Amino acid sequence: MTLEGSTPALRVSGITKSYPGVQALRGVDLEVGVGEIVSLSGANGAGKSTLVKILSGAERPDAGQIFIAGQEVHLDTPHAARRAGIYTIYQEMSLVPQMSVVENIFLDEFVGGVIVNRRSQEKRAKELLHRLGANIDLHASAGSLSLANQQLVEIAKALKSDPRVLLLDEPTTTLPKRDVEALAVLMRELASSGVGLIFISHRLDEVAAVCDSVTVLRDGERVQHFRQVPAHHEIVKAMVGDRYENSLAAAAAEGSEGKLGGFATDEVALRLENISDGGLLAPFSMELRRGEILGVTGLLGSGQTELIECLFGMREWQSGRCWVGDKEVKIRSPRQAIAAGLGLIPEDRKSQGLVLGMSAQKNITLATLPQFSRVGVLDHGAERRHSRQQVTELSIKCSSVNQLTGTMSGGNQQKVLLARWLTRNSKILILAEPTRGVDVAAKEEIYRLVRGYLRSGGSAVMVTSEVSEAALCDRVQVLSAGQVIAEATHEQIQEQQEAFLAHLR
Amino acid sequence: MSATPDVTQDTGKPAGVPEERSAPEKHSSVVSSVLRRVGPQGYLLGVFILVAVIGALVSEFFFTPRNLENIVVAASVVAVLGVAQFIVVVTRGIDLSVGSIAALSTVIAAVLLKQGHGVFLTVVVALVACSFAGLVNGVLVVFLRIAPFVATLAMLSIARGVAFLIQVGTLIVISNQRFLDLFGGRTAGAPNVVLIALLVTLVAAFVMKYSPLGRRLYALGGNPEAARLAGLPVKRDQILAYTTSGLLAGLAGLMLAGRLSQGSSLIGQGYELDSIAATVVGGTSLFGGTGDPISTVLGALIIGMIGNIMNLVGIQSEPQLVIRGIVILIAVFLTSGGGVQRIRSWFAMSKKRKQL
Repeated sequence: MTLEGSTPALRVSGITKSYPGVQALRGVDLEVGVGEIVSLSGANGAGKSTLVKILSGAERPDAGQIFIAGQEVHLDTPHAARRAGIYTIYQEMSLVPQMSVVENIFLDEFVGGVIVNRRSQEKRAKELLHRLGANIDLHASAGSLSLANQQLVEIAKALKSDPRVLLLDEPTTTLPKRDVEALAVLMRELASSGVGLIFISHRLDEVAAVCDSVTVLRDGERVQHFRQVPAHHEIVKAMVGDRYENSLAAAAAEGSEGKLGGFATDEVALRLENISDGGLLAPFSMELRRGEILGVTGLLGSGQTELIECLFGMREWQSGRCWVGDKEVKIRSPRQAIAAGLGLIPEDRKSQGLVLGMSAQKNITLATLPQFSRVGVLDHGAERRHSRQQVTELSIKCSSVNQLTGTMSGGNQQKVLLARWLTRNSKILILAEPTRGVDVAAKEEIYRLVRGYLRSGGSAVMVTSEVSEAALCDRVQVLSAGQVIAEATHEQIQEQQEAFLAHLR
Repeated sequence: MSATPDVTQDTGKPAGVPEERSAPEKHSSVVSSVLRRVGPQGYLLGVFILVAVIGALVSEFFFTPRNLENIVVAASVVAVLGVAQFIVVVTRGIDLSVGSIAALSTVIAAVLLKQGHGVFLTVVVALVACSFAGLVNGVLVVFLRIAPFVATLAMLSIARGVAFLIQVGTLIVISNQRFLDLFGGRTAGAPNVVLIALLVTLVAAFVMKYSPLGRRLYALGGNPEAARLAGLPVKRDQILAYTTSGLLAGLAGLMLAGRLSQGSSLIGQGYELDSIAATVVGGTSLFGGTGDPISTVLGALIIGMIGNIMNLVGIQSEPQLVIRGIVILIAVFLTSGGGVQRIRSWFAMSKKRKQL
């Protein structure tokens, strides 16, 4: 906790930053006390990542000041930021997988000098990891460690330079629950040793568990600062603003029942019979009805990836049959899957979904080029009209349909992908972790769009590692070791939540 | 501080007045807003004009019709090879075999003509053979998963070797007048090679911009996995790109054969590098997904002009190589975007320093 009146570890005042066409930050203030853990919350596109970039020295602000322990600093480069005492740990870790733990910890010290003093480095590394309570082989290659241990190595790397402020940008997104709890304990310890921490997470229960105060950004401004962590819905309200009323997220935040589906008909849309990939996936059968959304969940590595890949023709089937509607289809490639009426919103939208160097318009029409061409010539006008319409209907935030998707926020990128399949008129959507890494507001939007899709007669399979998200679906299947070990309807889950969750262990 | 006057001079504007505090600031903000509006393609045109102006300044012969024709005729072969290279580079590949395939084309044409076959058959056979070499490149890359650099490096060697085997001995002279007229003559006053290059450029530009195939090639180069998962026929398109590259390299070979009146396995050495230089000077990223054929041809013309100017001034061929290399680096620095951004941030930085 902060001592009133003492000099904060970090004080940011009036930070402003604009990019061509976008005002990313408008006069943002932020204060992190010595030993305080501050949550930086906000919807996607609220300006969090820009602020992180500025604090880590990757971008320079247009205006504003940054003070560390009362001293004004200029963070012109990442190196300068570290020297000034701010260390950032990114969501995507920056370890070199082939190098050992020790080599990674001292990577930034291989800059000058001729001879590496291995022995003293090993000693320091051991001390640092000991301080973190980590039991990691110093000579193991970083790539062979679990994600949680990799993160510990990252933190050890940060602690080596005795930072005054540690910025953790979505450190928990990829961690299993148990490791998240361990990380929280560690953060508390670091705080009590006098480090100021900034914690960014989309999961509000984590924020509540570990943070002292919450700063909320919206549209590039600091809209609220809570000196103590308030109830979930207070934070959500600040993040989402006036769009908050009657939302699913609100229902979930207040603990009442939210539902995504409810439009299922009797007509069968998709039927799988004994599909197996000859590996993890045991003969798998499934039936999906028109208008229905099926949630598939399970612990990491239970076969969800394999299932998606089989469904979308990215992985070869060893055996099994598949019907779309009442027509039997063969799915041996994504091309055939798409032709059969399937669409995939992949888990990693940046590497598997979008062509980031292309405009929103070109990404939207990518799966339907023949539809937009006449005698082999693309009709740019029709493309533009159609994508403008999609942008309006899905309320995609962009400066124009020509904005490159690489410069759009996660939620909007997701909507562009959705627009692609809506354009294609796909009858069945496979949604792989559709809301991972997007904030509450964008999540809400995505749910709204999915619901609209189901209402209009589409069907969906949502593969998600968030049980609470799967529980929004009409029906939920729990996978374990490539098999369905439990199945329940939405209503059953609401009644026997505990019993259902027990299947996950 | 010192960065500002240097950069302002580069952009051809007068340097700011140092004693007035506000003047240089206002000035640099005008320049940076201009910089923001002009994309990398604008820079390419700027470089093109700059080189032409320098040419006119250093030699009175530069702007004579005869010299301009020399430049364009010489650049037309590199332009066609550049377009061939571009089509592969846009898919994240590279084709090192274009020069050798062009040589193979000259030899096939010379042999067939010597045996008394007609021009039409000669052209068709040469182009089909070269397309086949390109197809092999594509198959090696797509199905055997050999890195484009390695696969086409092998083809560089193979195609030239085959050309040598076919020609049996030294070069073969071409005396078929119809063939020489077709590739060395003029139509309506313009050299045929220039017309061919122009046609190739325009067709390629149209395809890249207005056809689904062009869009697919950009998508494939920008993100192959996303293209595949959007249902695009990525394998087929990739093979098609290499095949087209082979076809155009063969066409460039016919243009060379017509101009030199001979077929020889030694023709076209180093053209693979010229074609890559034209592509990158034209602003195409070797990581794929960007660029366009017209810029590539502009790149070929810039390189051609530079060589021509140095010849006019009488620079020896060895220093010419050095100067050409440096000019290519500068052009790439400006056109590939990195340079544009850096210049902008220099402005932003010097502006900020002044405010402090």
